[in-house]
Amino acid sequence: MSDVRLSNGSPTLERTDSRVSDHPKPSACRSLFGFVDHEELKRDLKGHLREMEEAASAKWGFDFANHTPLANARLEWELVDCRDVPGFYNKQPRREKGVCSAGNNNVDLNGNHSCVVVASSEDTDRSDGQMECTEQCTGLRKRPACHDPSAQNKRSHSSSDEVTCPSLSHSTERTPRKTSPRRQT
Amino acid sequence: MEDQLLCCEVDSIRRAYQDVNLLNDRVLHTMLKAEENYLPSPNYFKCVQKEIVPKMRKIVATWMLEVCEEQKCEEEVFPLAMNYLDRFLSVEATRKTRLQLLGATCMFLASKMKETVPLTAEKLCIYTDNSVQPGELLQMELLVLNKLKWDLASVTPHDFIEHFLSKLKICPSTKQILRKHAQTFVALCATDVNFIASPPSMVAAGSVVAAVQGLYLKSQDASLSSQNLTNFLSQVIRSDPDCLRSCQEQIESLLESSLRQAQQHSNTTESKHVDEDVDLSCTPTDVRDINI
Repeated sequence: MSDVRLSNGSPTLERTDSRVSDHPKPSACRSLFGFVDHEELKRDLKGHLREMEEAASAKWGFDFANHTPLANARLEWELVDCRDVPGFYNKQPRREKGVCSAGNNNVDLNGNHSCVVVASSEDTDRSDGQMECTEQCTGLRKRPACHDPSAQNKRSHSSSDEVTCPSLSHSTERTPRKTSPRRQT
Repeated sequence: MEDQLLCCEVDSIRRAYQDVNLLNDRVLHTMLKAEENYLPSPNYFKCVQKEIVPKMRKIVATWMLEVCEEQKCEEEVFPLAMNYLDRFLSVEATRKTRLQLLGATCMFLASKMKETVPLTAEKLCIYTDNSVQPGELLQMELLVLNKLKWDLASVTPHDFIEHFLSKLKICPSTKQILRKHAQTFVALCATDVNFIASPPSMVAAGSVVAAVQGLYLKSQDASLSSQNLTNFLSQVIRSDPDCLRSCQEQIESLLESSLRQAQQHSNTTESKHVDEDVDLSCTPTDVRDINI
């Protein structure tokens, strides 16, 4: 306990300056529990990540490393044209070129669409409750999904069962389909 | 045009106004229901961990709080990071030499969740005295996310504090002081293993009651008296007044012991200053003497 400092920082609402100390105080820079075996750590992390990928592979019946569907999997995968899916799936992070493959010209340098405010206001109201912070950080990037007429509102979020696996977003052209599903996109 | 505007504003933190529409009972009840989903397992030291003991959690928590304060993180980043850390340790046996990597990763994630200008991996690695590398931190991030099932929207005591304050009849300036004290207690609780299993609503209510007591706040209709406030807040969080009272007492004794240790520590290190904050000058002796 000896080092716990009771917060004397300015209260939340008063913090207006950005990070000041680019050079951290030496006293705070310390290694707490001794030598870290980096080789072993790298190996273990790699193992964990491989396990995660295998689990995702089994779950989705998809080989994410090679971008191919697995044979005999629970899910059937089919190719779809990337222009047919909501922009949400293939939208690049902002500030990048080729912002939207749907051929959208109303995008400024920040990746914001001119239609953003109008089209998404309803959506914003609804999700503010649980999402206020995530919305704040990622809002701009997500918004443009509304540009695609078929994905105007929450449907594109709530039906995104398929995107819970992060690596899936790389394989945007493929959409999984269960054997007896209701088509969601 | 937009680019230029952004350039001009880059030095200040842009922050949305608080939405009063979110301070209603519907939201509060949803939070009370949701908080249970984010509770760590209370006995992970015994059941899951082989190397990590409570003392080590305290060490890493103390370091994390120090980093968050030095980097002027939003107040809720630290408790949120501790929630991630506890939830991870509840499901994954971890080597003690990797506890600091885990702590750094949890701050990295919490900062991304709550801040407009998040902490960078590089900076966090510097704070570990370069004992971990940014690449490791990023891989660890993926592992933590996976173990937490990508659910990072934990309810924290901070979320409740605003609700409680909105229900108390006190003037805005007092509210500000009270908020600050309550938040300090919350951070203190997050460093202490005894509060791992306490629901955030309980920690928040206990912190608010303890702060009101510590500041000797009074109101004309006695609604701020210890008993009335405890009864009132325990109803708000749908808990038992005795539970809340014991939580409050636990917080007070934690404060006392940490003050004692901080004092001993400050005797040896002259670099720590005596708190000169205005808000503390009107508080009773025990709080006023806080060594920061």
